[in-house]
Amino acid sequence: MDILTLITFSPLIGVLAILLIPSSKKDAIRTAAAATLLVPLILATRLWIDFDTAATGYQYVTQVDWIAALGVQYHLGIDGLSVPLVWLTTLLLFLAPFAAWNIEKGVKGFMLLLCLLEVGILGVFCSLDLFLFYVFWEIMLLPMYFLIGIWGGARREYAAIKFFLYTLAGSVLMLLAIIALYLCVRDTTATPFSIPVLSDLLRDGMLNGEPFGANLVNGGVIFGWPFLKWVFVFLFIGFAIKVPIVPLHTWLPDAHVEAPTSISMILAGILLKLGTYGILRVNLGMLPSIAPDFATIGAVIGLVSIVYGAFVAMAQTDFKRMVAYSSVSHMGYVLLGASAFTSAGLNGAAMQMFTHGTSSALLFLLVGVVYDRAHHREIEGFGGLASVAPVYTGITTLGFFAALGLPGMSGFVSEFLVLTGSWDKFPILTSIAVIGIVITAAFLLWTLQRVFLGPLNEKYKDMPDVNGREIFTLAPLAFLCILLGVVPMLLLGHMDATLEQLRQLFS
Amino acid sequence: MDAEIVNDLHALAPELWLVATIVVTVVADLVFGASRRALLGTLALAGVGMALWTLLGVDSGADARTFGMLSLDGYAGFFRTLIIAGTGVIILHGLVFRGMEESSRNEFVPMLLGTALGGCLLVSTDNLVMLLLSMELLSLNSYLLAAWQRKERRSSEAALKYLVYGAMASALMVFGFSLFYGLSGSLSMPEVGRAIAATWADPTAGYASQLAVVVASLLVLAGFGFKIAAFPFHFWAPDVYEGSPTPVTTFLAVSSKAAGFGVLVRFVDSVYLCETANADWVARIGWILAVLSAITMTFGNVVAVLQRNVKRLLAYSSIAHAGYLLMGLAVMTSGTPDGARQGMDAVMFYMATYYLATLGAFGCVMALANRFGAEDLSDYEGLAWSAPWTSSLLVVFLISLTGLPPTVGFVGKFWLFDASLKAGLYWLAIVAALNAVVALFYYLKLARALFLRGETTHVEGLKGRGVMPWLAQATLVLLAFAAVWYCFAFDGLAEWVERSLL
Repeated sequence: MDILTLITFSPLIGVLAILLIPSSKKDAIRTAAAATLLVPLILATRLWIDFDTAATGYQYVTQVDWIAALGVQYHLGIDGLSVPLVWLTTLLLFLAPFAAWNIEKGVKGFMLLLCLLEVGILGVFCSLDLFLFYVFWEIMLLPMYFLIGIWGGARREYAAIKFFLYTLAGSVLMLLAIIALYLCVRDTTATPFSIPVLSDLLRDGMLNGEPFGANLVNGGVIFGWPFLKWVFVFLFIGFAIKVPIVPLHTWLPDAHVEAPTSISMILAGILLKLGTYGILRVNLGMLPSIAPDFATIGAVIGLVSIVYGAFVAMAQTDFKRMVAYSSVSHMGYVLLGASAFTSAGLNGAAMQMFTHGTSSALLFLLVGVVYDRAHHREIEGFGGLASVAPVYTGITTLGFFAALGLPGMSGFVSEFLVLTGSWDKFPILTSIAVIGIVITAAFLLWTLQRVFLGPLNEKYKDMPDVNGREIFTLAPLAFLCILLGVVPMLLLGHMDATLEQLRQLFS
Repeated sequence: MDAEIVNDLHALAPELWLVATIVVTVVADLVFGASRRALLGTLALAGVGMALWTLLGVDSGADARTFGMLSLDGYAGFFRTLIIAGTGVIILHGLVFRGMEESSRNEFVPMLLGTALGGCLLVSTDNLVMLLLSMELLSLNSYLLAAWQRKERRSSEAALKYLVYGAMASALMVFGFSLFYGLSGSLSMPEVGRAIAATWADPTAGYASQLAVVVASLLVLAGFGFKIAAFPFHFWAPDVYEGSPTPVTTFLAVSSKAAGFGVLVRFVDSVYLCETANADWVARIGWILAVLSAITMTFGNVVAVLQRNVKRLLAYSSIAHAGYLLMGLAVMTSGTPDGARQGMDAVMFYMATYYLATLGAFGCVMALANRFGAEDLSDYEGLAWSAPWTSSLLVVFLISLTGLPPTVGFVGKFWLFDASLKAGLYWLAIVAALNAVVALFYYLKLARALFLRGETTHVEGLKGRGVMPWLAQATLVLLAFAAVWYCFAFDGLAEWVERSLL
């Protein structure tokens, strides 16, 4: 069996194992889940090491005919864009059972859903067939709904259904776009869902000498717009809701805040990246003839998300909500960088996906630590925690610095690359985007000051510092934040060849 | 005996088995009474099994016009399989179902078999009189079944409502048929179709006969609309679904709907889509069907959101699904080349997926009602912690009804979207896609009640009872497995549908 199939479906082994353990043996279930989720991490690390950084195109490709009636294939493969995200997924999912060790209610169900969730996410990153991609995309929604809805906070029902409905609204439009593409090319190719095949066919927007959609009713012109533009827009909406962009972001603060710590970490760390991954892979990689028409719109959306997200984050009084909004802001950089189609911009965007994945996951874990102790998250309700919890303070400071893009930390490199890359194309927008950085620095430092510095709040004078289990979850992410700040080439080296190939589509 | 008659009877073997089973179960009930319910159940299931076995054994490709009235082709075979198999499952669940009076439980079986017989004949016929007779056979049994809980006020109300609306619909339809007969001088659907086409082809025929065709078509569509519970002929559905005993509701939602769509598709195909049909006229029918489809699905879904009673919720959901299925009919009449085939393909495929999921969903609802007496959403709260398997299966079926992977419902929606985009019905595809979002909301209300709300304590509930409760549970697991399996391996299903096209 090939390694990608193995990575993607290995969590299912754990599903069987966990089902067999009686519900009363909670620690056994937790251990089994952690052990299961370690398997994909080991395999993905192996994959990372073996990955050929010089090669362009997809690696470890598996291609098997699946549904003959539609020409759907079971088609997996990775390239420089997906390999970091696959690794990050396996890392965060491995940490999740540890972050969720305190959960007592329905442990079995929680761990089962976690395993299923990982299958869905990895499937999306690995699939090279749009049908398969869509199937995996939807598969992860249901576990997420239950994970937020059953184990979340006070408003969990609302948050869970909102998350599901928003994502589904986007994804049904995406499905229509996929079907429309399929209708266009099904007479031309035997594998009309294959991403590599579609990328080739769609490169110049012409099919057999005619514009795309000419074989459809009305020549594919709908309300005066050529067919491919609609496809682009529908796909973009589907992905953008997931990113999320302003104004489609309102599900995010609810979902992130209500979800249990481990799930917030996965939401912010990986699920948001699915949106930007889709934009880079499908909107840019498959529709390069249309993407430039929407470049400015994309950049403006990115900019609005950066600035608006930062301002709203600053206004929050809830620690977790602040971190949630800072995600909106940080994901805006990805969109801004991607819209520039420059080498630096694309590298920055792809790197920001990874660095935000580590830093936001770290921040959510940190919020979880303090919430477990204080049972509230009001920023104003703390004060002087540095004196009772020095280690916690240290890691939080590090996480904040990574998030605000302090030089030497990972966030700096990616944001710098994004801004450099977009400067050529959008100098004005880029200058405004810098405001976002300032605001981000402001609210993070201000929070630091209110929570950790100043006189100690007497209520928390006996608050214990982080324990061993928490350090176990925090340390790898904190380490990555520093490591990638110092040696960004570790990551960029893996992505470079792929992104260069992507950039050439626009030159 | 004449060789031809023998052949005809051979093709009718499934129906004959149903008739035999009806007779046997009635007699067995008289002889053994309530004491030997297991025997009765076994006999009924054996009969259904034989009917199914002969059905799948009959070579469907051959010319199988029977008695000049029935056309037992692959198309009929498809719907007959669905109807008979569905009836088997419903009988099984009906024997276990707690909410039915003991005294009349046995008679329930032959009645249900009677509806299956009516449904089978209905989807096979292309003769208007036969159509009417078999539809009445189906309907009259349904009216009685709806009233099966004699002591329950809602049940009587449901039956009366159903009867009154049904009689009205039949009357409209008969009137429409009489106009068609007047125009064409024939009761055979293809003949009627040719006569209609001639009305448009011949300018001297004039305005009056065209008007007669329009009026007749509207009347007949109203009759069919009643049977499939499409807007605006759906008013009976919520009350009847809620009031009837749940096995009967299941029957209404699956078998009755399949029979209705089976005959409607055949009717549209042979009456409106003959070779000489006028394109403008077909396009107009297509336009009506597309609008009806959009309104039906939107109405069903939006109103379903407001429901508190689970059966009522599923009733509105079934209205919404009628809307989705009408999408396929709109594609059939969209006037695009190959549209008829595409649309029919989509309707039939979607019907199969809807069938699996709805049977399963109602099965779970019955299982939960048996064990916990749950009927309203509020009764469902926290039940997942006591009945994790049933609840999880129910979620699978609901996800399939919503149309999300990894369930076969997704493939059904895919087929429909594919067909409607191909036919250029872009707006309809978008309406349908957004409807899935609304649908998710109320389907997840069930999941929310089961999993997200209520106490997480374990409640034992009542023990399973009746005849072979484990078999009923096994069918649920099987249906759920099929619902997931066919998402990943629907080639076989697609081929079957493809083979069965008219």
